[in-house]
Amino acid sequence: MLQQQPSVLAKAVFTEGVRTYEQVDDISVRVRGSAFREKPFTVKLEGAEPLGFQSIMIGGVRDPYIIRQLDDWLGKITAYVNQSVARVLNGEVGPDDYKLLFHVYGKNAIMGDLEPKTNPAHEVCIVTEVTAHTQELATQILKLCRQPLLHAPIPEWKGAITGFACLHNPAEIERGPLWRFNLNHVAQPDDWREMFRFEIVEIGGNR
Amino acid sequence: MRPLSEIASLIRSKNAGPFVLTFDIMMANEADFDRVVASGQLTAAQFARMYRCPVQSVRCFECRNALAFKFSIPRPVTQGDIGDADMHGGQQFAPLMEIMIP
Repeated sequence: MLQQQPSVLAKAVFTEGVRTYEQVDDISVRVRGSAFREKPFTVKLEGAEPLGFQSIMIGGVRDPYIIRQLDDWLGKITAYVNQSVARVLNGEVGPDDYKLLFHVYGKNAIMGDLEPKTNPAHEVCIVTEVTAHTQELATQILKLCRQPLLHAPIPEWKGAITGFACLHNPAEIERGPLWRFNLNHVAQPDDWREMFRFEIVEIGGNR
Repeated sequence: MRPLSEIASLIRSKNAGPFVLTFDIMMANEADFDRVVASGQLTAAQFARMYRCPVQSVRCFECRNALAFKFSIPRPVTQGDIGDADMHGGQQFAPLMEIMIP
């Protein structure tokens, strides 16, 4: 299901050579010494592939007891959800049929594993994201996340808790299809015509 | 010692296509540029460590005529793929701000 389309035509480039940059005024620069050099004809190929459909739920945590054990807490919730999917969907949906992710803003949502800071904020936003083959399945699995997020216990509190603040009701937001870039090549055809489909239409004709 | 954020006039990150993340670190004058060059802190090895990628995958450029440093690394997650949380790659530079420059 690859969709690809030649997108850029290039026959020559301005490049190299001795260049100087001279500030002319506050907003203008004069560049000297650029050269026009002919290069082989190339066609840039870009492509994307569909990965499925996504549903998300936005919410947050303010309880400092949960925040200080967030990874552990989310790990237990993930395990619980995976069990629920296997049970509720009767084994029809395997672990490879969906992807569950938590983006924890206030901790490491933006840089993920590359985040060097280790102290989360006093409140964190959690975007729960499910990707699956169909929109219905993504939403169904996301719905299975809501109860464990709301009520997963922690040792510090004795009794039932509500540890997650949903932003919306209904909490689930359907995001539609998800696409991923998967192709980024430069083709060097013998003849530029071979890269494109042609349809020749004659207009008018003999009268 | 001062953090790079107090010396540079601009530190930024951005997609360079969907598979590459690129960083620009710009100086306001030659003295600051020379100071950062001399510090030896902006190197491929430093980037490889901070962004957890093989040092051979880091491309780095010192552009004296632009008073700028440029680094490119393979995008940790392809743009838009599951797990990517920065579609434009614009917020990946922040840890660079704290690099200490003698």
